[in-house]
Amino acid sequence: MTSQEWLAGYLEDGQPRADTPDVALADTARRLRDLLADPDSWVEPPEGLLAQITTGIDSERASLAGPPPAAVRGHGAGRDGRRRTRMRRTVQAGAAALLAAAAVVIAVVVTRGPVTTDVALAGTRLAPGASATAKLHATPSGLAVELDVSGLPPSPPGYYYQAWMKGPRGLVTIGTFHLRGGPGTVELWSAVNLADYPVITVTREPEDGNPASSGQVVLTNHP
Amino acid sequence: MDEDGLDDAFRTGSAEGVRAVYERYSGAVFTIALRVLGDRDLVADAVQVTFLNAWRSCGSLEPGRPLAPWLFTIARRAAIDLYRRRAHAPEPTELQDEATIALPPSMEGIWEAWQIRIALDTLPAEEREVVRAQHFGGLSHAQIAQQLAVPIGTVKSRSHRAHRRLASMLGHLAEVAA
Repeated sequence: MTSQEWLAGYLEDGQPRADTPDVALADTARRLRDLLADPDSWVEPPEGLLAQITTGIDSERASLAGPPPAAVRGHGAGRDGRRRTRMRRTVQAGAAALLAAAAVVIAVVVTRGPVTTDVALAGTRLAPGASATAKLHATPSGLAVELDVSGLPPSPPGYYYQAWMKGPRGLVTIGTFHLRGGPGTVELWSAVNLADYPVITVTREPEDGNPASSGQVVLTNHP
Repeated sequence: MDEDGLDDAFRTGSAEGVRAVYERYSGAVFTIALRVLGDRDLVADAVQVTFLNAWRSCGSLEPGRPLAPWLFTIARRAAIDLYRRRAHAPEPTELQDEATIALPPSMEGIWEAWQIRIALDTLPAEEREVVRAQHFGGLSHAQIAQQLAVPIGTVKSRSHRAHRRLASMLGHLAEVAA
């Protein structure tokens, strides 16, 4: 019997055999058999994880790509071409100025819309006594989020809290805070909406320059 | 997609390559992250970081170098980084007794968990089903036959074939140990 045949037999029935090739093989075979029964060996990644990864890759790819290259113009375009270019630039500049003016008007006239949604967040095992209510206001500039926090201790030196909205398309940060002035309301802003990013979490982050989530969730609406 | 095609597709950094590598290896990445971290929320983060880092580094994967051990290194590092960050974070609850603080599993243990998961994910579906029911479910051949509504002889032959395949894929671990 080869060692491979022996291993196949042992993995299948786990019976001790008189013809065990050597101690090292027997030890390895025992560990492998234990791994076959270990739930970790069978667990499946959660649905939607691939979508989050591809979204992250797409956004990083887009940020690396930069603006599209300018169109190449032939040498024979001449004075008419240059005049057309000047005219186009003038029109574009005018349109941009109009858009900017409109944006300023909107920002001044519309400050904050009505409260649209209240979302309750509960403390996790990292902050079992904490809770919060997120009041979401839709505004023309994005989603204003008033996070009324209680029971969450101030972040210790070297750490801060970060709020996130999470959905099938990925994870978007909506702001950071520390609560060192005591409990209260934190104002956050989001560029994404609750329908697409239904999970709101707050994590504790070390000040280590790493923009990724630490995964240390202290508050969530999706326990 | 065969192993060479998978490696080549991934080296280009294409969406199809990333998707194919995820389908092949996400289970193994998830398994070892779970062994290191033990917390499913953190594990999902570790899997994301692994595949993003792998995509960022795909240009450094030399032609001919096998993808699986390279990805294992990235996955293990991502999980251990998260483990260390969690270990350094202050616990808001009472300090744990030293005896209850778990250390991450050994390199050998993580490598074996990775190898066994890849081997399981490579089995044909009907054989994998039998192995799962037998080891994870703790069922006898007769119980599996009843559960799957197939003759017991079919279960036995699937089990026999599956374990021969597993031994063939995992035998090198025993040789290393010896």
